[in-house]
Amino acid sequence: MISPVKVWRRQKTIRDLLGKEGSIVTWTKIFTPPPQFKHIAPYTIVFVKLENGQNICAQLVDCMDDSLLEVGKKVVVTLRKLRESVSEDVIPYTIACKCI
Amino acid sequence: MKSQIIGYHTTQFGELWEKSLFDLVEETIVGVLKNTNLEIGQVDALFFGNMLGGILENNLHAGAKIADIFGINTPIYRVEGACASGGLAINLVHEYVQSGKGKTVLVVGAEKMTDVQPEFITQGLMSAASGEEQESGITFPGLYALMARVYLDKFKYDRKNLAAVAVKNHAHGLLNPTAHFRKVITIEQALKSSTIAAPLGLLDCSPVSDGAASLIITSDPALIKKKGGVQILSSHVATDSISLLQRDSLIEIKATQIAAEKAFSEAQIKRSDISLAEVHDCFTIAELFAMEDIGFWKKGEAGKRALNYETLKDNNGPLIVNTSGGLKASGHPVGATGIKQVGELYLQLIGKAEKRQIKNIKYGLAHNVGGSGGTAVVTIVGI
Repeated sequence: MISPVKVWRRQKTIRDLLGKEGSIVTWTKIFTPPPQFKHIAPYTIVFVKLENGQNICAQLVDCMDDSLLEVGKKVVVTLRKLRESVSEDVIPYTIACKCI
Repeated sequence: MKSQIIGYHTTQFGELWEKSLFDLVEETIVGVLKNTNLEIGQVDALFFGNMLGGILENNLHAGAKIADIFGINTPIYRVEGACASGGLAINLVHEYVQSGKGKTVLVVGAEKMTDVQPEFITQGLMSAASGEEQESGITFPGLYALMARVYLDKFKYDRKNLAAVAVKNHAHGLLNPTAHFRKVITIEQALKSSTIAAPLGLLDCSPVSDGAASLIITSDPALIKKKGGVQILSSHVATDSISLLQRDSLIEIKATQIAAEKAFSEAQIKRSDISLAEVHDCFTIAELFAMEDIGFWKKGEAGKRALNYETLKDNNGPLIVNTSGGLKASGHPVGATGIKQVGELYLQLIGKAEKRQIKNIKYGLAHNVGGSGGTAVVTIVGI
């Protein structure tokens, strides 16, 4: 269950990742999503190593052409509303990646 | 103290719309008691492996429910370790019996998965991944797909090397009357199946199944003498980070490596002594990892050797893998899977595996994984 408090707690930490750059280690495209992501499927998820060594996994946005996807490609972390809101109407912003 | 398996029962695996989770639990407990000529009162404790009952059906406190069904007051423990729930329950029963806490223990695993729409199953299963992973919208097929892409790229393989695992396990599933899928598939069908999480297609993935399985494990010398059976030589659990993001390598499951090393060390046998392994092929890539991480094959070899069908029963090699059909064809009712794996070894070792029977088998190994490798259980049995 996603509670508003849980979303609030999480959003305090994700801001540190915004604007960080990194490169794609591996990627997949999801055709069978959980319900809160059904409206945007299929979508691409990238596993990225940031320049500080940290690994993240996030949706790739603003890059709809799969043929451009390759290991080593540079991306930057940005903020997006991807999940559908829960009944409490808190907007669950999360990190996403876009190509540089 | 010896811990010996003296009985096994499994329900049919598949889409069992007429049966609830606890209908399946009851069916297999009644079945295993019948197979061993025991009464429920002769069982000192029960362990129940189940993952999703709380999430999908709002059914927790399962021990009391089982007590209710059978009218007993026996200690009952529910064990959860994602897809390794069944293997973890067996590991605990082995420890419980060896400690002398109880002599005869029943271990049951069950899952009811087909009552809800697939996206809710996808979401429920994702409770076994990290919060960061859940938030991104990735799924379990997706996590294994991330690993598969790295493995295929590194060792210059393609989707055929994965598909061969599914082809083999479907060939075995055809021989198993309780398997979810009893039909053969071809490499071409596997390659053409619709994409679930690229590069994994539908036929790279184990199905969503209902089912339950149970074993009776005892240290009672009188029962062992009367019933014979199969000895648990070792059972080990290892853990790792819940998140793929924290792992050093995306082409190996470290928890499997650690659990396997400990299990072989305690059992004092070699990899080459194992004639049958039931390994955790939740996705085709997972069987390749299992073969390498358990130590049967060297890192990077599994793609090639899978395509040679070295572990297909009909090829009569020194090591056969997943005669039950594996998770892929036998089905994957999560909590039941780890129990079914050891149950398959039991049937093979007592010579009751019918059309799947392997000749001259002395030792078998079961390998059960939770999540993307956060938990692994390796159990070795022998006669």
